[in-house]
Amino acid sequence: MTSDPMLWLLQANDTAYPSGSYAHSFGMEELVECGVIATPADLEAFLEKQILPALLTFEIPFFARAHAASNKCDAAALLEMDEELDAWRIPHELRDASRRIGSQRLELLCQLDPSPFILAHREACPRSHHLIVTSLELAAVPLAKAARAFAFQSIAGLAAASMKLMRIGQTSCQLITRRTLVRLGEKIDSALSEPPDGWFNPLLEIASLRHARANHRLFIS
Amino acid sequence: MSICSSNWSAGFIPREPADRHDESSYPGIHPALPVSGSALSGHLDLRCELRADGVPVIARQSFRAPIHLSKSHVDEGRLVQSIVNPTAGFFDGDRLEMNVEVGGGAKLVLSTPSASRVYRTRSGGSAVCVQHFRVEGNAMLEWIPEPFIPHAGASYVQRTRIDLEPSASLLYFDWISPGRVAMGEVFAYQRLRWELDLTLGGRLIARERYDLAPGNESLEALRVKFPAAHYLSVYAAGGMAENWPARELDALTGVGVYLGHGPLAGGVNVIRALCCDSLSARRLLETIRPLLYGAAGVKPPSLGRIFC
Repeated sequence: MTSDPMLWLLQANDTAYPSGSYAHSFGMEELVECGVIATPADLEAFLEKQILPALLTFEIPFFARAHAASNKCDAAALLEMDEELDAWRIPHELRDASRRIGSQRLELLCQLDPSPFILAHREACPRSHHLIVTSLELAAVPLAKAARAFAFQSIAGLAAASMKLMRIGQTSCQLITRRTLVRLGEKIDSALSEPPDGWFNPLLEIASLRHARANHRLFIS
Repeated sequence: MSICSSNWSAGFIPREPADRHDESSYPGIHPALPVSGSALSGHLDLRCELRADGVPVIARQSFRAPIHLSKSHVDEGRLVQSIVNPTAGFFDGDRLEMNVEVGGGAKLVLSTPSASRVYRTRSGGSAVCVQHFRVEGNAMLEWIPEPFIPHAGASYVQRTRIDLEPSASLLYFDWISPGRVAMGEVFAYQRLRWELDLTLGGRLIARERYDLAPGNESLEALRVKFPAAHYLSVYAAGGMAENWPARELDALTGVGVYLGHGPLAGGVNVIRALCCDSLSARRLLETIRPLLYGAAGVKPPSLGRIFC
C-alpha cells in the first residue's frame, strides 16, 4: 500500500474501486417504485431528512468506534461490532448488501495490504460488514477524514443509483450531492464524539423488506 | 411465591388474595417506592408456568400502581392475562418496571384492555416504562397491547428487553399512534424514546433505538407516506415464525397500508407496517394476528375484549 494515507484514501474511495456497491440502492429502488421519491426535490429531501440523520446519529459514531478498534488492532471488538450491526440492520437485504460489499472490499484489501491483522480478520469473518471493512481500510487515515470518506460512499452510492432509477441528469445529481455533503460537513465532527444511537426509519425498512420480495428489480438491494 | 395449582376449574385460574399485589410481601424483590408528588413508581412482576396437568398458571405475581392485573383465563391452551392501567395513562415522572417470565412449556398472552396513554408533561420530565420479557424453552409469549397514544406535549421513554431461549416462541406487537388525531393532535407530542433488544439464546438478534420528536426530521419517514401514520411492528419467533405466510402478508399492502416483512437471524421474523389511520391499523392487526396463528396451526386465543 502507498505510504501516503491520503493517496490510499483517494484510491479506496474512487468509483473505479471494485466494491460492488454500484449494484445496490439500499431500499431506494422500492421508494422510487412506490412513488415516495419521484423528483429531484424528493431525492434531495430523502437524503437530507432520512439518510443524513441516520449517518450522523448511528453510522458515523459507530464507524468512529470501529476505526478506533482497527487502530488498536482489537480483533475481538471488531468482531463484536460486526455481529451487533446485524441486529441494527433489521431488513435482511440491508444486512446482506452490507456484507456483500464488505466482503468484496475485504478480499481486495487482503490483496493490496496483506497485513497479519487484516488477514486474521478475514479468516475470522470473511463476510464482514462494509462499515467494519472500511474502518480497517482507512485505519491509517485520521478519523475525521476516514469518517468523511465513509459517509461520502453512502451518499454517492445513493446518488449514483438515483440516476438509474429516475429522470435526473448528472448535473442535477451532482448539485444535490454537493448540497447534501455541505449539510453533512456542518455536523460530522460533532457526530464523531457522540455514542451511536439509532434512527427511526420504518419507511426505508419496509421499502427494503419489500424490495427483497419484488418480482422485478434492477438492483440487488 | 406460590403456584396457583389447586381448585382450578375450566377457564378459570384462581387468583391469590387481594393483598397479593402488595410488594411488602416480597421483601427484597421490589423495595417500596414512595409516591412522590403526583408521580407513581410501579411494577409488575409476573411468572407463568406450566402446571403438572399441562395448564398454564400464574406462578408468581406482584404489581403496584400505575398497573393492575385483571382476571386471567385460559383459551387454546394459553393463559390470557390483561394488564390494566387504572390511572388511565402515564404522567411525567411515572415509572413502571415490568418483569415477565414464561416458564418452560407454558404459553402466555399479555394484553391491555384499552389504549396506553401518556399525558402532556408538566415538569418537562418523561414517563418511563422498562419492560423485560423472558421466555424459556418451548414456552410462548404473545404481547399484544392496544395502541400507544401519546398526547400533545407528552414525553415518554420505553425500554424493552426480550430474551428468548432457543426453542421459545414469541409474538410481539407494538402499535404507535400519532396522537389524538380526532382532537387535532397529530405528532404533537414532545418526545418519545423507544429502545428494544431482542436476544435468542443469548445472541442479540434485533436492536432498536430511536427518539421521535416533532421538532426534527425523526418523523419524516412516518409523514412522507401518510400524514398521520400509525406504526405497527411485529416480531415473531419459534413456532410463530415457522410456515411464515409470506404471500398472504405481501397481499396486505394496499390503499392505506404499506407493509414489509422478512427474516432476522435465528428464524425470527419481523413485520413493519405504516397505516394511514387507526381503522387501517386496527384492520391490519386483526388480519395479521389470526394469519400468524393460523400459519402456526393454532387458533388465536380470545383476548376477552371486543377486538381480536
